Amino acid sequence: MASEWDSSRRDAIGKIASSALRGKAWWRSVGDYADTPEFAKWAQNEFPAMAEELESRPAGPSRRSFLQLMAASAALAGLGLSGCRRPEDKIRPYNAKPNDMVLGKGMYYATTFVMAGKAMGVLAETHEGRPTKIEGNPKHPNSLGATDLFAQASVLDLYDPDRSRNFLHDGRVASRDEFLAFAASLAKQLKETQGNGLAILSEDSASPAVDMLLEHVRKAMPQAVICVYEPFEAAGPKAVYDLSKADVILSLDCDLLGTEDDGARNRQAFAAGRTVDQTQKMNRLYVVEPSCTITGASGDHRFVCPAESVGDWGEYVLAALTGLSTAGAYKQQADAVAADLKAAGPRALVVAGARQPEAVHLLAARINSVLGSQAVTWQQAPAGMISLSDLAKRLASGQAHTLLVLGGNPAYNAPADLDFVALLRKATTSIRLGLYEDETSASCQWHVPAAHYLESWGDARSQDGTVSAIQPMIQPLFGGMVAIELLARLSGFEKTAPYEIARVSMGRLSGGFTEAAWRSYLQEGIAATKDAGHAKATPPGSSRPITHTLLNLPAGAVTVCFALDASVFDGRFANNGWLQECPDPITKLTWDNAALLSPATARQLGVDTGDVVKVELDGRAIEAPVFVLPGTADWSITLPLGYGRKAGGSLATDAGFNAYALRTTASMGFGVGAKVTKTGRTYPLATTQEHWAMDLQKHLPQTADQAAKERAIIREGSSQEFARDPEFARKQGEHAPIRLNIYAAPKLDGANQWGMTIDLNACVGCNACVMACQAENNVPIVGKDEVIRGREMHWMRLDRYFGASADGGDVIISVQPMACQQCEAAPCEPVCPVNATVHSPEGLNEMVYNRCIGTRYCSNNCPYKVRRFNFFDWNKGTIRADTAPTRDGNIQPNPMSGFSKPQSFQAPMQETLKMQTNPNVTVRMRGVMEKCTYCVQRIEMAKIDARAKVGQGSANAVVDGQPAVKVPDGVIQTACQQVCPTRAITFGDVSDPQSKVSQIRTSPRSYEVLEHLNVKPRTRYLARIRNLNPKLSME
Amino acid sequence: MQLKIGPRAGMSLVFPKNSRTIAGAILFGVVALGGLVSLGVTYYFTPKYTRVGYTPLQPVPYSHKIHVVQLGLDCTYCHTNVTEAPPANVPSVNVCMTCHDPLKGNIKGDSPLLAPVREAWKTGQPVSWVRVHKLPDYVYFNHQIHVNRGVSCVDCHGRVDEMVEVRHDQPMSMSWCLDCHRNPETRIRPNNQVTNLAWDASKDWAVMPKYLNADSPLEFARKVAKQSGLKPPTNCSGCHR
Repeated sequence: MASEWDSSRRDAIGKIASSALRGKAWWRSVGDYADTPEFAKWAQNEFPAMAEELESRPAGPSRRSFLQLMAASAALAGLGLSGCRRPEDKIRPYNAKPNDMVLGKGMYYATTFVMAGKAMGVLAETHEGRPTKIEGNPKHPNSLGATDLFAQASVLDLYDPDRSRNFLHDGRVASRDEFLAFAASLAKQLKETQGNGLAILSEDSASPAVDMLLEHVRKAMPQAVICVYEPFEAAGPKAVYDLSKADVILSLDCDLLGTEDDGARNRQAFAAGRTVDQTQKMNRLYVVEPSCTITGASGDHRFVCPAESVGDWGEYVLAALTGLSTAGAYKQQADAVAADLKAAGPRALVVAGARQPEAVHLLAARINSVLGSQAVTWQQAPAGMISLSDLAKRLASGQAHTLLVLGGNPAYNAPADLDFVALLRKATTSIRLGLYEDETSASCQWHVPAAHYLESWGDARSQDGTVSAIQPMIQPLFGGMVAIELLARLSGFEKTAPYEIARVSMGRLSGGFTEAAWRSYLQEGIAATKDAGHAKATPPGSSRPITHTLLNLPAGAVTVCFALDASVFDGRFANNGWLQECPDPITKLTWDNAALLSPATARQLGVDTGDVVKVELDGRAIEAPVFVLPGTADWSITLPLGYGRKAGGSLATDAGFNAYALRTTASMGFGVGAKVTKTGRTYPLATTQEHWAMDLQKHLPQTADQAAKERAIIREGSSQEFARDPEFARKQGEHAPIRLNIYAAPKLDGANQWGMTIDLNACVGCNACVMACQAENNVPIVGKDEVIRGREMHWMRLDRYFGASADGGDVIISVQPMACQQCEAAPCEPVCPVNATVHSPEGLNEMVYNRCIGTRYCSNNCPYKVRRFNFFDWNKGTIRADTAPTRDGNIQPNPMSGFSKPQSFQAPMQETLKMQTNPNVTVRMRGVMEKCTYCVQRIEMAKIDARAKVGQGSANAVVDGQPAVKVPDGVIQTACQQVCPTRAITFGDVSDPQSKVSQIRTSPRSYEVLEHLNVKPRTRYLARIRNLNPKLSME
Repeated sequence: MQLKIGPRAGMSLVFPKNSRTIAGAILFGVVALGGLVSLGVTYYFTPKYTRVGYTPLQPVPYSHKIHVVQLGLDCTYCHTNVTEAPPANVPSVNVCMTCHDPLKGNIKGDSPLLAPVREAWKTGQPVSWVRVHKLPDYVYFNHQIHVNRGVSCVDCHGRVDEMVEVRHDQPMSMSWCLDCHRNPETRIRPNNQVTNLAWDASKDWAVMPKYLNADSPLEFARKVAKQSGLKPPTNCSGCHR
């Protein structure tokens, strides 16, 4: 598909490029927009690539050898009946069971997930000592019970078989004792020299314990220098936003709801300001950005603007606010935005993104102070740190010769002009603590395996000073060490055991240690006292002039924008299979990154999705496959970071391209004047954007009006439309005239009738639900080859649609979570020949794995395309890059993928990965259909608890005149609901008018997807409302 | 060549005289063999045959009879989780050692039969009991709900209190589960009699306090079922998730 330049596709790109979008409501991809024959064929096939290549599978027996084996074993069974004796199973109980442990029920412990200095309090669910799932800690301000996709996927990292297992000295395996002896002698030497030549390079751990030890280092070794480096963080004082205090928000290229969120705090506050049904009013978000982010998709108005002009945009706003007269490109829009900001006054907020230079941050700070915004506070950057370039200078000059690298991966993600690999090699002594043996480890003398946070003692501070505990769920699986232990040993701290250090740190915080306070700290997860360590700072630069200059770029010059990847972040999650396979929220790409180009620019350059281009910037060059993405700025190319790793695990290595290779100290956010040329080669990209398409009727002959109504899968309106007619959403679709059905109605006599609502006005499309479902329901990953074949297994998918904007700007983006709708008249049920999918009395469309024989009729008949088929025994193997020959030594990469290094599916599954599985959910096998069941395991557990509580006493409810045991509202949370930071998903009993879900279903915005099919889905959606500024709207 | 056609000519040239007998014998044989195979499969391949009676040799010849009948221990003394969790846990070694620890209770503290238990206590390596009752992985049986609703241990496990070695007593097939899930009244007894495996409803009802003013155990069960909304699941996800 990739390099085909058929005329309809070209026309479509042309139309998208010229913004002539009106008349075409919602579309999923360029191919969809163009309605190319290839797209229609792809979309109409349920499973586009069928199982005929079964015999080419590298792992596992082929179909023929399988039959041979079966025949042989049948013969043997007939002879000896040897299979009739069942295997002897052993029960090995605890020697002394912990007192409060109830076997078979999960236990929850509070701990903290830290990523790039952002702390999120979580509860880790453990089963018999195995952490299996992460939930949010309701008491932690950055979580409030919700989490994000990274926290969800972090549990898989714990069990990653590729994690570092050994201490290495110059690449040789060394024992822990050897290292400790070396560390002791080094500590002694450093103490004598007062830390002369010592440099510590740490990732941002946001840990008071680490700060305490660094302080100790400064005291004991005054000559040592310390640097904290995160690849995507603006320097200087840190702005902390409180979106609950903002009614009008202007984002200057800041992905504040996506990768630049503090945990899930911004998403929560943003969505809380959009509960239109209760409050009748909404906040308004303007987004100015060069590329598509989920913040842009969530914005009410989205202005596409090249990265280098975002500052200009801000200046127009400032000028309008301060009464200066301007003229130019952004004037009209900026004036309208400025007027809106001004009207909101202290409840307005302008945020600047980490990609933007300091000038834009100063500009945002200036605008905020002009407005008197109350939604932003400032925090002092920690004192006494040197910058990374400073550290590089010291290393180059030999001033620093003993380097301690705590976490991070500077050899991979430091600016390319620093040539950090050479600097690391230059150090006479270098110690590296890391989860993986990665690029940095390869250039350091010592590599120390790090413990995962679920194996560690420690603590973390959130932006408001809340200190939360990090406590281990399990002994380090691979003997890893914690950063605080390594620091303590090298700095000669009085305590070296991480547990003791965490206690000292906690005591220091609360002004004295008591055992009771410690216990409650561990139980609650957060300390009673806040840490005032980062005192409030004054807004920066209020007195400095703004020195933003307009750029005059030559024609044809391209601006390179660097972006954090929505899946692997800055590269730290590159070996996490769940995140690699989690489709990017906007491009829907899996297992790769791609250079994002606007349709117009792609046409000018003569490239299409999948073409490899050469990007040159300041004498450096990389090659990257193109992905044509509507809604990006022309003559901009967005390069997501985090891929193209050279080491660090078999999934991380060589997946995608490395954009850090272009990124220099001068172009940390974006670089101007790049050259992009076509190479003529193509590269396969696995995007799921056209998979599981529901709107197939459009390929049938029908009138345009009919088509638009039937395809009103995603419905949204403006705030003005909503004010005129709150029920606008219902009228967008075709109403099912008579509630008659060809399918027999199931008997729905259960005490509870389960249903769900998904509020599209709250959903920001952050993918957290996709990851939570994967972790909860043992959903396997399939690898890039199989994603290309359309076999991804996610039960919950996020459908991303492009549409025409009402303000005449570029495309708008809407996102819709889609999982099994639990139809009351489910089309999948009557077509199953073996009754493997049936209806429960509580309205669930049940999937019975042990009955399923894999005809896939149900999936064929499912209008929502939410059923997933196990083409292989995904749970019996591990997706690995093919570094070693597979079992039969016969590697045959998917001819469609054309990998230089194919991925393969290797049996058996790694033992450690098995430890992650949820024991309350069946691990499905090959040949079985599966799908969302509203987390039936959680429902059944809650029902059992409620019924066991009633016992033989009186039931707690009456249903249809009969006593019945009901599960009270709010007791059950589905995994996707629990994780959702925006509270978009509500689950409960729809037969109880008082339940929350019933209340939400009465909203005028509620509608059923594909209502005209009359399958009576139990999941309803609430239409999205764009809070349009009337001055900008074309209505 | 000309064929001579006589009175007995026709198909008799093709079929021998005893063909009718042979055909009958074959037909009978097929039916009989098929019947035998079906009978064999229904008997030998079903849980009634494959599971019931399974009495593996345990590392320690723990006798439920001594502990329950002679000493009067309640089931939940050792199987502590049974009222609050899906599995009825096998007791951990420290439970055994409350009585059998040579340094504490010292009951049979030097018995060679208890050597594996003492060994486990000393080394920290648990005793490897052999599993008797095993359901397929896709079955999520839950003890908590059964015990709290008044289903006795004896209904599924038999008279464990009289077993010297634990034996698989009931088939535990799906139809066997459904027999009770469809007619729960037949198995409900007062909650305080759940762990009394010797309870004989027909005899003991006469001499025990009348629960819910019921005249018979069955009437009691019906009343309980009605007031507590007892409706065991017969849909798939009740047990398969």
